[in-house]
Amino acid sequence: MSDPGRLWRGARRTGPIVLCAWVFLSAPLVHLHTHSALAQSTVMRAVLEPIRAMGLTQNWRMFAPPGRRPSGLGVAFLFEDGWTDAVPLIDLFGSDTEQRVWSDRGESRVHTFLRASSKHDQHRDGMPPIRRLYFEALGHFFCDGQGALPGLAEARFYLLQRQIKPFYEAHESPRTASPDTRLPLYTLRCEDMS
Amino acid sequence: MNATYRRFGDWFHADGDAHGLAAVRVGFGLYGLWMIWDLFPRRHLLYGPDGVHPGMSLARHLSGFKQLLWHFETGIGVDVVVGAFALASACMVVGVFCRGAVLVAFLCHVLLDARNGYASFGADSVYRHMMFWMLFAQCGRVWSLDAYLRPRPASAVPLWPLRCMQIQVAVVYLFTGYFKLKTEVWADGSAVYYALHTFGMQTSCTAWLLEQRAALVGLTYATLVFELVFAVGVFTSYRFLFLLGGVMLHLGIDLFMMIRLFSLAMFCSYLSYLEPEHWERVRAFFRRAERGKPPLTGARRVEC
Repeated sequence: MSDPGRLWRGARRTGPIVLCAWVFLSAPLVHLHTHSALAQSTVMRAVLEPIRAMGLTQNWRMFAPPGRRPSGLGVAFLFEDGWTDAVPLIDLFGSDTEQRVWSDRGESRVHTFLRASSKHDQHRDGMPPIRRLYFEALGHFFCDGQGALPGLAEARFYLLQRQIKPFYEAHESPRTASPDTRLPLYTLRCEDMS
Repeated sequence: MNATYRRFGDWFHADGDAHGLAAVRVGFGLYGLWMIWDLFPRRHLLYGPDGVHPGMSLARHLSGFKQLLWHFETGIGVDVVVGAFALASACMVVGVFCRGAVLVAFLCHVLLDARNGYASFGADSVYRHMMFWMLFAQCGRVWSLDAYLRPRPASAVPLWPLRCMQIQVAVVYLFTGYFKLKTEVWADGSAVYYALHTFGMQTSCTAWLLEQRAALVGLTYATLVFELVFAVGVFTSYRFLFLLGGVMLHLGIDLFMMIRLFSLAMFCSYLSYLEPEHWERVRAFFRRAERGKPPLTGARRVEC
């Protein structure tokens, strides 16, 4: 029989190491393709699911890389008398940050939310469901939610891309040279929401 | 190899002064309070049923504790979670029911993130990782109301959660440096220029920096090098030099980019790098000051 005291001391020494290894060594594994055979294995799921559930994935891609064309979401509204111009969503939710060093309370978080889906990723099967849901939820906000606009019939979301001067001449390409663009991403009718 | 492992084991499993963990607890408690203060006016906009991300039919497909705010999607539900978060953070600051307070704050943060992950940013990830390690720490032994009301003989506490926090901060910089290294704009020195153009991130100082080409290239490479070497450098005797570099980097980001909370989360994380001997020096400083002696060695008191 082993000495229980020794066992306990051993566990106290091994436990933290195992926990530390679990959190840090699973970092590269979390990036495995979700549908790969390895990621689907029982062991791997048991190892990775708690990490994902607690939001402990080591995903630190901060500006790696920043886009060469700044992009954001825009929205245009359809009322009885026709469509409005497309305006950046950020302008609807906050004042101009360029005049200040300090942001208003909660402004950064709202901006983060509005930047979250500002990509134009074309898929063969159309827009991924998770992104469609993002726009549906945002549309709900303008149709029936806190930001409801009376008489609103439709809302159309755009990807707005601004042209900026490339830092190096070598960065110039037809894509970066094109003027400010707006690509329609998603349109929804308020009557479909109710 | 064995000797290295043994050295790592000794470092990792060491017991020591409780002030380091208490400092991190107070730091992240204050950070949590500031996060709630910042979030409060927009809590219903971001997490409420009539906000920008209502649940609609989605809640039916979600299960588990994490999705609690989807299922009880009411303004009151959001207020309860935000209120519990604030209370737990306040308890962390004053040191009441420390372990429980850390757990509640951690869970509230997980719930809010699960409710609207689009509104979470890097600072939230840093906070959650640090709080996870704090769950295992004896962080209420000193500088707490608990310790004041139930005094216990001062003894060393296990420092391994603090070690994990130190590794975590190093991992943050190492990963972001690694991801950046692989991209063209970081390699050619133009990344800061493009990052400063991100929608809604400009401050009143950004326009000036955008005109300074040499500075933009310098800042790009300095950031990249700093992030790659921090993970090693911070564990050497130049620790405070690297921490100072980190403070400068984050103050710079704050000045030129509208990224809130991230710098403060990192500064709180830096507290984990203060070792028992550093706290001993701080205490010695105050002891000397209390006795009325000049706090600096070699300094002479001037009699008037």
